[in-house]
This record gives sequence, C-alpha cells and structure tokens, in this order.
Amino acid sequence: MDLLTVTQLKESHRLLKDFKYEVQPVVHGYANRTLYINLDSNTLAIKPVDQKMKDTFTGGKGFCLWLLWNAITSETKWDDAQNELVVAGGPIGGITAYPGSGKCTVVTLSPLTKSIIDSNSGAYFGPYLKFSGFDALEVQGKAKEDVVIFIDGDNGTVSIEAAPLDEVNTHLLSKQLTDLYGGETDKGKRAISVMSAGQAAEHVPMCGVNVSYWDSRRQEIRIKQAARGGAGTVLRNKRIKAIVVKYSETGGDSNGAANMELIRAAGKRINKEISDFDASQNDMRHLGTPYLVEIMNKFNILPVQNFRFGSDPEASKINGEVWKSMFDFRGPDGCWYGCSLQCAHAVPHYHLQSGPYKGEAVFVDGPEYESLGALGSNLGIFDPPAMLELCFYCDTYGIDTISVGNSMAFAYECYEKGILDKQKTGGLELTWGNAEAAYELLHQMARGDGFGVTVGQGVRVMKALFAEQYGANPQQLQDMGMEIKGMEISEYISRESLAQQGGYAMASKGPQHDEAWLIFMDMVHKQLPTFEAKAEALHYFPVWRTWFSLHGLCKLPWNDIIPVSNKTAKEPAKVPEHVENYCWLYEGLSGKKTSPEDLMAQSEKVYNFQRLFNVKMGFGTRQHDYPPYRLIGPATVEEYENRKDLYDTQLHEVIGVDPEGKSVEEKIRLVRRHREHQYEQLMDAVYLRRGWTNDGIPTQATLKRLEIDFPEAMAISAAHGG
Amino acid sequence: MLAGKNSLPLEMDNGQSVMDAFFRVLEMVPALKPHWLDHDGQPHVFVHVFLNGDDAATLPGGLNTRLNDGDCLDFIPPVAGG
Repeated sequence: MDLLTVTQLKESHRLLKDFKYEVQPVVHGYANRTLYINLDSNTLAIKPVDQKMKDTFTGGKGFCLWLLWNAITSETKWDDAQNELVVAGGPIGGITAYPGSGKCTVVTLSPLTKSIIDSNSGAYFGPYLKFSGFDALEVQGKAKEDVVIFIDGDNGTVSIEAAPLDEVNTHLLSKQLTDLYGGETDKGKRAISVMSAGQAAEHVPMCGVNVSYWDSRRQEIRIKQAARGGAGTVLRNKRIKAIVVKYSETGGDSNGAANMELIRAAGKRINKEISDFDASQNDMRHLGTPYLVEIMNKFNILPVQNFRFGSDPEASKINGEVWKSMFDFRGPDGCWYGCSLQCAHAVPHYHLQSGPYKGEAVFVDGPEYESLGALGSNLGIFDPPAMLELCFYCDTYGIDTISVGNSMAFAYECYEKGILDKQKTGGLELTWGNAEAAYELLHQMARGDGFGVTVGQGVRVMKALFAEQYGANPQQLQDMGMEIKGMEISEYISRESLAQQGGYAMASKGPQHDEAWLIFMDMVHKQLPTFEAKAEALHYFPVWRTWFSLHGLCKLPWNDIIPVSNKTAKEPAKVPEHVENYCWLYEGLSGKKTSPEDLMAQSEKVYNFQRLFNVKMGFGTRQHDYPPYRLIGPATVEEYENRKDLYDTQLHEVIGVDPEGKSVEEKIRLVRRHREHQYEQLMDAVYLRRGWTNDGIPTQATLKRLEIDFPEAMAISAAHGG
Repeated sequence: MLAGKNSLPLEMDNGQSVMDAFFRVLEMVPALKPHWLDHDGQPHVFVHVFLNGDDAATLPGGLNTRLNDGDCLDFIPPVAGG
C-alpha cells in the first residue's frame, strides 16, 4: 500500500495551536505538572501537581481518576465534549533497571459501561509523557476536524495540528507519524510513541487505544493496547487521530531517583531470577502468555463456544509451543527498556487473507492468551493463521479482542439456537469455527455497515435488541451473555471458582482480570476454603494489583516468575520477595522508608475512590455487581452434561441432594439456587471486609480512614447510606 | 516443552508415591533435572504436581500420597493468569 511521503504528510498538516513550555527534570519520579488540552477552544495549559495530590492519589490511574472527577459531573455522558481522555504513566514508571516499567493507564467515561473505565498499556507513551514534563495528560472537548496532538519533550512544545490526510488505522498511522516526527534514524524513531485507535472506533463502542514503539532490531513498529472499555472510541469521538509524544534522552536515571542503588539492587535480584528460572517456569521469553492455553484447557478454564465449555481436543493447535515456532526472535521483546521478561512476541511476514489489506505481508504483534481465548477457542476457531488475521485487524482497526470475541461468540450461539439466521445476519453463517464470518464482522465494524456493527455494540446491547426485535427469551440471553456492567468478561471459565466470580463481578471497571486472578488459588490449590478467606483475597489482591497502575508498572514480573524464597514464604501467593522488591523501588525513588503496608495504603485510597466515582455516576452499587449465571454455574443442559460427574457429586456431597432420578433441568435448578445463594454470601463477606455497606458503598468511616474524606466524597457516601 | 514431549507412560511399583513418581520422571528425562530440582536436590517450589487433577500438596498425604493403577500426574509451572 502506498502511503503519503513524509513531505506530503507534513505539508498536509495545519497548525491550529501550539505553545512552548520549559522542560523540567523529573524529581523522585514526578514531573510535578499535568498537561490540559481542550479541543473545543484549542486551549493548552499546564496544571501543577501538589503534595496533597501525590499523597492521596500517588500517580498513574490515581491522577487520572482525580483529574476526571474534577472535569465532569454526574450527568456527563461518554460522548459529551465534557468527557475527558486522561493518560498517565506513574512515578516509578520509566525506570530501566527493573522489568515491566513502561506502562501507561488511560481513564475515561466508557461507551460500553457508561461509567468510569481504566485500561493499561505497555510501550513507551507513559514514560515519555513524564520525561517530556507531564505526570498526566487530559484531553477534553472535541476538535472540529481530525487532528494530531504532538507533545515534543525534546523541544518543549505542544501542538494541535489538523491532519486531514493521515491514515486512521494504526499499522499505517503509527508508521506515518513515527517517520514524520522521528525522522529517518533509529534514534529518532525510538524517541516516538503514538497513541491511536482505528476505523472501527468511529462505529462501535468497544475500541481501545494502541500505543506504539519502534523496534530497531526488526525495523518494525510494535504496538501494545489499552484495549478494554472503549478509550479508542472516545479518542475518535473527539476527532483525534493520534497523540504523539517524543522524547530522545531516556537514561538510567531519568526519574531523578533519591537512591538509584536500591533500585538497581531490586533489578539485579529479579533479573537474575528471570535469567535462572524463566525457562524452567513459564518460559515467557519464548512463549509469552500463550503458554496459558494448554494449562487452561487442562483445568477446564479455557472458554469454548461462548464459555459453555472449558476445554476442547483441538486446543493444542493454538497452544504456546505452536506460537513459539512462529515467533520472530531476531531481537529482544520487552515493551520498555530494561525488561528482562520480554514477553511481547510477534509473528512476521503474515499474508493477510481478507479485508482492505488482503495480500499484504504484515507484522502481527501477539497473539496474547486473551486473544487466543476470545477469538479462538471461544468461537471454535483453532487455526493459527486465522488467529493472526483476526488479531491483526483487531489491532489496526482498534478493536478490543476480548470484547469483540465474546460479542461474536454470543452472536454465534444465538445463531446456533435459531435466534439469528442468515436473513438477520446479512447472509453470514455464524457457525462455530467459521473464521471467514468473523473476519467479515470485523471489516463491517470498520466500514460501519452490516450486521458487524450490531455485534460491535457489545453483548449487553445485543441482549436487549434480540429480545425486543426477535422475541428471544430475555432470561436465556441474560444467562448466556458474558458481560458484566456492559463490558465483556475476560477469558477464564470461572464456574468452579467462587472467588474469581467475585473478582470479575465486583471489579469497578468491569470484568477484567486486571483486579483479581484467583482461579488457581481458589479452585486448584484450594487456598481459599471459606467465605472469609475468599473475602480477604478479594480485598488484598484487587488493592495490591491496583498499585501497579498507580506507578506505570506491569504485573507480570510480580507473579509470572517465582523466586526460590517462595518455598518458605508464609503467604506464597503474594510472592513476598517481589513485594519487597517493589518497596525497594519506591524507597529508592522517593527516599522514604517503605513497607508493604505503605504500598497497600497508596492503593486502597485509589481503589475506594474509584468505587465512589462509579457511585457518583449512578453505578457502583450492589445491583451492578452480579454476573451472568453462566459465569457461576451450568446454565444449559449441554453445560451440565459436559461435566455431569462433577455436578452430580456436588449435588450429593455439598448440597445434600441425591441426583438419582432427577431430570437435568431439575438438577440445574437445584445447583443454581445453591450457587446464587453462595454468591450473595460472598458479596456480603467482601463488602464487609472492604469497609463498604451491604449495598457496596464505601462508608464514611472507610473514607476517613483512607483520608479521602473530602466533602463531595462524604456527601456521596452519606446519600447512599454509607 | 522442556522434555521434548508433553506426556509419557510411567511404570511404578505397588505402594510408590507421588514423590517417587517425580524422581522416576527425572530418571527418564534427565534434561528436566536442572529445571525441576533445587540445590538440595528437592523439587523446586514452582513445580506443582497434580494427581488426577488435584494439587498433590492439598491431599491428606501430600507428595507422599500412594499411587494407584491408572493415576495421571501433571507437572504444571506457576500460573498467574494473562
């Protein structure tokens, strides 16, 4: 495909507004300023970050939530000009001595959930934004024409440029803008990170943002995603084609750390561990997250045919070893400097079979486990080339693979059940394993025409639509529609893990395992036998896991590699030695003596603040924390029969009912009643442990304890019985 | 796939345990030794042994649980989710 030349692209850009600022050094991880952009008025302004903001919200997601809280009202909708897209890295983010230190978090009002979402991405944007002088970026308003926002940290300028001729799809746009702003040299290109979405973001709510970096060894643009919740749809709704940040002078101490020796000590310890043991453990450096396919399949956790089943004999066709044989190992695969876990793999020279780029050889980032589950096993597709085709187009169009995969799977099951037919789908046969139909649905989402646009609205919208327009049974659709709060559930069958059901359903943003992944602790290692134990886990792990997004850090180095010290650790699931590493990182950065409790305190404030923010927006209460029944138990006869021995045994030994002589339907009903009651008990225990009311509202006492008891927060809590 | 394969048949004597089977596998596939054994010659903390789908560490007999004909053992790395 012929792109515009750099000269043509440059000439087509028209400066709408710019301003110059003084680039100041980062001190103890903070730039101490945020950048505010309003596209209604082309306003560019700098806001200070004071100590209270740092003490209360730390950074990253915390800063994003606070800035958005102050920018919108409870009446603001996702597509109002008043909504903001807020991006931040975090204070520890940007160090190069420790793996997984390049993340950014994006926060906005979600077109899917209609409430607050946060989503995180690797690649270089977070650190470069900070080194350019800003702890966070807020973009409010809507441009009158398509624009590119360029933050030049080398020269201390920010510009809003009309960009009528730039591509929209990420694989082309990222290249254009990396060339335009980075120039021809590797050093220049490495200094650029592009945040973009794609064509589909103009038509469907489930689009995330792509974040790029330049891979010098392979001479390719690489992309990571802040995929969940629709931030890409918001980006394009604001007529932003891309936000570009440029920073050339990243060094070992660009963060202005108080004690680099302590940071290096933590890095030395984990890097040796990864070097010694990664190959013996998950082999992330060669397999990446696809290693999970085989294990999830073995334990009946791999979603198959819209989460009906947990395993499939064909799963081996898309497991980790298959991808290892296809990955490009010409260079390191860390998505930020210094990452020794290096799990961001990719497949080169894949020839596209469909769509506007059919026949072109492309470089495909991933696939990750989530995409293999969502677009592979969940659709009954076990063909590696089909995985690459679907992943590539999801990436370049800006579509979240989890949301689209689950939405397609829901439609495929509706087709199987006769709720949909070829007339309704515009001729597409949505049968399990039909990859070509899946390709066409994606292309329709990008073009904005056809049944694909309906599927792209997500499971919650389809449930209402199919009941209203096609007379489908609403309860049946509710049971099989794998979404919570309007966001599609990530790729783990959780029927046998009550703790994970809670981890998904009670997560503030929606059912992303970002907050909690407790399946193995609960179901496999049986470490959470009581409601109290599950509640304690559902307090500790979501708060702990939130901490990473405050700082621009990746969670994988925390528990995708296990140290020898775990053998004698009191609570091995917490990986105490790695928690100590993070204490060293924070202490090394800030100069303040830091304990694990200090890190949890940082995070618990933001965790509860986010819950309260949801309440402010009309959500965030108990009624919003229920999962579809298929996440809890067997919703259909085929699901029960698939694991008949397991469920019959549970009926007998746990529920105290003899399954003999009972119909499958009656057994389903009995199991359902038991499990739904268990879920209610779990909610009671979790809310109590978290310091919330029985309706899920953070109490005023909790807000006081966490020192987030400012007047508006207390008023919201009080108004809802807190 | 450190062993070059993902399954192998195992013949054990009557009364032998999960731990016995662990070391028998290492005899059959010596390439696994540097990955599965710590400096003391004991199983690394990150090698999880499952007996018929149950984490052996959660069984009453733990790794000393006696094996029966037809039992299936799985050796799983630490799993943290994607």
